[in-house]
Amino acid sequence: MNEINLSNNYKNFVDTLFKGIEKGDLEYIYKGEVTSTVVTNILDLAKLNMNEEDIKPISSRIYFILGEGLQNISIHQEKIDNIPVDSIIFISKKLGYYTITTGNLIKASKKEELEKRLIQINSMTVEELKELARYIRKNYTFTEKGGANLGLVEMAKRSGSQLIYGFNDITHNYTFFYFSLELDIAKTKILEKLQTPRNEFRNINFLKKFHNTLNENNIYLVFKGDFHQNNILALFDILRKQISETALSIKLKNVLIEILQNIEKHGDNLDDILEWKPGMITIHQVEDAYYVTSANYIKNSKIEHLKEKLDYYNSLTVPQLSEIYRKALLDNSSEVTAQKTGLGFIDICRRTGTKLHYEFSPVNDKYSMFYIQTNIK
Amino acid sequence: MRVLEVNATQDTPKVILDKERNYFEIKGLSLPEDAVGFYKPILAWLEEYSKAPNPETNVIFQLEYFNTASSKQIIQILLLLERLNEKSKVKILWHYRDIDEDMKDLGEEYSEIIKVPFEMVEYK
Repeated sequence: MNEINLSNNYKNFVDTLFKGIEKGDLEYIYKGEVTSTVVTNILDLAKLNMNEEDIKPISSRIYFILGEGLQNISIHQEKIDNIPVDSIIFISKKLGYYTITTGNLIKASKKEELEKRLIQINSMTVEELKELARYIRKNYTFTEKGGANLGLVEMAKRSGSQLIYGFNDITHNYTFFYFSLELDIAKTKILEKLQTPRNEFRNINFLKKFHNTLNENNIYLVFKGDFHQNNILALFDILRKQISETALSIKLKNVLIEILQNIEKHGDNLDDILEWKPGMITIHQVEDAYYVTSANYIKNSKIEHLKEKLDYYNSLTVPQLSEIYRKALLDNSSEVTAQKTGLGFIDICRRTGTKLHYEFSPVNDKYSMFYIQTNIK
Repeated sequence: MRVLEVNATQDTPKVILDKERNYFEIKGLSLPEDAVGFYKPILAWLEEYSKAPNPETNVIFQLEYFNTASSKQIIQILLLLERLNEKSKVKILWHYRDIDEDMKDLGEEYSEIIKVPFEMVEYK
């Protein structure tokens, strides 16, 4: 009972993100208006995940490019009345690359000029880009919105990557502009590079499809990565700042922290020896309600017990939940206090007053993907 | 008796337990991985204090968030304060933000479980 009917494209979306996930990988997706607060928060998250040895040498470049790219959106994003077209940001660190991809609405009239500029930049060597940046700086002229196209040149120069871009015409006057660049973390050799699978976010057709999935499922935030305490706290901190403070959002945050820590405590990895916990969390917003969906691997041997527990909680009324909540709260026997409090799901059910929707989707004979969704309104 | 003072971290609250000044406070976020470990010295301090408490003990709880692991420890503190209430006049000052219904509900619920006067204090 209460299993979710997650749309197939949602599950494909999770599968795609989990494919080949390795420790230290990170994916963060934000869909919405890019305000200066959002920019600061995303930079904070990126900073936190730049402490690892492999990424340190290029961290200042990532920081610059990310800052520049986000600022570009906040300056250039357009809004059309009555058509909600949010900007999107994808940050993805995997397969030896740090990929930064953005999407925002622009006036169709700018498309031609922008494309010309991108083709020009893509045809230049790093030396030529340096030269061009110097030239623009000297002969600085502001464009209508305060940019000088210097941003694009600098981003291309510092990433050393091909700028990948695409357009999706929304109306006669507006088009959605996708833009992606990547930084080589692993300093992969050319030959290996050709053999490595590319990050999907470098494929415009994939991006368009992916963007559709986000829209169809009303997803506005995705985090996928290693669910260890530091990442959870950073993410939680961002969410605290990003989601405006209302009674509803406080409830959302209370529920989120339980879900995040649940993955940390009970999630599994596809291999017994891997001690890190890959997980994913998405926040959907539909009118006045939030939905939180999490996905993590779990051993098949745990499923039956978990299912029983979830069905049991789902069968209870709120007063009954309160009763077992109190019992679990006061249960101070040694095996329950250390890690497993037995309170997490009960607490979520109580706070939301709704059923937990779940699904187990087999990965192989040892593991499954465990999805759980809760509704906060 | 020595003062127990713990500074807030990203996932643990600020704690002041001061017998001399008769000031007792737990304030901030409580989301540690090891809640048992974090609250152990606090419980130990209160246990010690209970041997020779002040005539009145007002304890301020001003928690912005706490995870379920912390709630089990907080209830242990409250139970300890319930026992202490036989020796010292205990009052719990449960602070919650005006828009935080969950924190208010929890305070009310705990006040039903623990037989100690609770004062609900709303703040902005």
